[in-house]
Amino acid sequence: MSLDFSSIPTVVPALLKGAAVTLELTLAVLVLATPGGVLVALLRGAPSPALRGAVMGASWIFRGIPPLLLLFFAFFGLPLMGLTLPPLPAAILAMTVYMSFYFGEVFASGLASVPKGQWQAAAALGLPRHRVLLRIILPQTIPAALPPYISHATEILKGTALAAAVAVPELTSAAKKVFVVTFRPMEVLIVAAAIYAVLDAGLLILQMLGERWSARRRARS
Amino acid sequence: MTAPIVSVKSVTRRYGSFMALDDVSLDVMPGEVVAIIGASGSGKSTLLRTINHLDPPDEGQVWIDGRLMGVAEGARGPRRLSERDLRRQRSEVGMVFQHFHLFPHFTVLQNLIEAPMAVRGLSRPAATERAEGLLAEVGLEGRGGAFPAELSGGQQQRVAIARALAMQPKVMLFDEPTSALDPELVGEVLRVMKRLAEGGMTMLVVTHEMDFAEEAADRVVFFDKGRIVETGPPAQLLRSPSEPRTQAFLQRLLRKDR
Repeated sequence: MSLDFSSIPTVVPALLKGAAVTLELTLAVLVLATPGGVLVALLRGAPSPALRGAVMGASWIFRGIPPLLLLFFAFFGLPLMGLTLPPLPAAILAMTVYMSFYFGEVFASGLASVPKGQWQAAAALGLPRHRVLLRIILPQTIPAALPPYISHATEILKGTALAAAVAVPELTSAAKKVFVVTFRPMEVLIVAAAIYAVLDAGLLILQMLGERWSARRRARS
Repeated sequence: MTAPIVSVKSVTRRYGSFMALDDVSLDVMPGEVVAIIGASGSGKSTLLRTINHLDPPDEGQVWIDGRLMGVAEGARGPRRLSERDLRRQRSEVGMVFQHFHLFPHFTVLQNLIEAPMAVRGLSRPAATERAEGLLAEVGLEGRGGAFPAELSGGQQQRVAIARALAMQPKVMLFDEPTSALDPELVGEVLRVMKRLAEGGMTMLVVTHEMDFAEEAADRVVFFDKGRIVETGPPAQLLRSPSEPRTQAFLQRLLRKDR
């Protein structure tokens, strides 16, 4: 088999358009599921056993079922309950719920890595609780939480391909649409893969920056 | 006669069935330095944490400068203070921990200005000016840009003292401030504390440093099993304690030193 990329320039705009949707979906899910994950992590440590139990139960369910099934619930199921969402918002909702519980695990172990004394010292100074969390505690979860966080973020990026199932015009579905016309699936798929790789690299750069940020601050002891 | 600035009244604190504090009462006068000694697990550190309500007492009261900690006096009688008001009360009591607990992701300067800005509403320039003055006082002039991990233990503890002082507290609580330090770094921290004591700061110091207790404290309190066993001027309590339990504790310390 020989590869022929001569037809690629004509299809690149369509692929880039798909990539833009992929990026949009990824960023939306990251922006929503990150605070969602913090909330899940905090609720897992709530004083009320009922609340803790409910969160653990929800975590077990939402992390345990295929994300595609969740996507179908959001797109085909919710309308039956009176909430009809266009494809992109439905995909954002489904992936946000799904990822919030994964991020919840990440942040829970991150929070556990921050010494109790940090909470005490901040409380002794009289700092308001939200400020303790946002300024003192959460930044300190970065060294422990960053690698699994980025790895989950990569899962989100790749997972956006699932949204093709509810007709979100993201990169993978754009690629499919294009090669059906050009009859050069191999070349188109290679280009699509390259675009994914570039987007992945963005996340890895984020990780590097985070690691550099925490390196000087890491306690030597 | 002046009123005590810290007044602990019949405070009890339990952890499950363990009595960490058993009906403890203690008055501290303004400017007084009280050294609290006793075996580990005797309740000394718990006492400090109940004073600023990091660990509220199960029974009893703590008064700071004439105000009852954690309780609001309303028209319909006393009620629990809101989280916000409790924070404000707590911020008037400085605390220094055994393991410093500096915020590692903040520079020294950020450690010192965070609470004055967030709790006291100081502007950044005002908080920075205060912080730089305090750094000079603890012998760390110009180190504001360093991160805690770049400092020695003794330097970190001096930053922690400055961080507490930046809130201009009425009382300073020290929870074994030199126990986590290498022996050669203990002196620099104790010197800062002595200067603070000479400056008139009211201090409660949980410590194993008998030399510090003897030189800097006005009074020594000996704790055992959650109770105050004996209290008195350092010369008397450390040299000729009247209680057998105090004698036994001090003898054990002496043996360890040799």
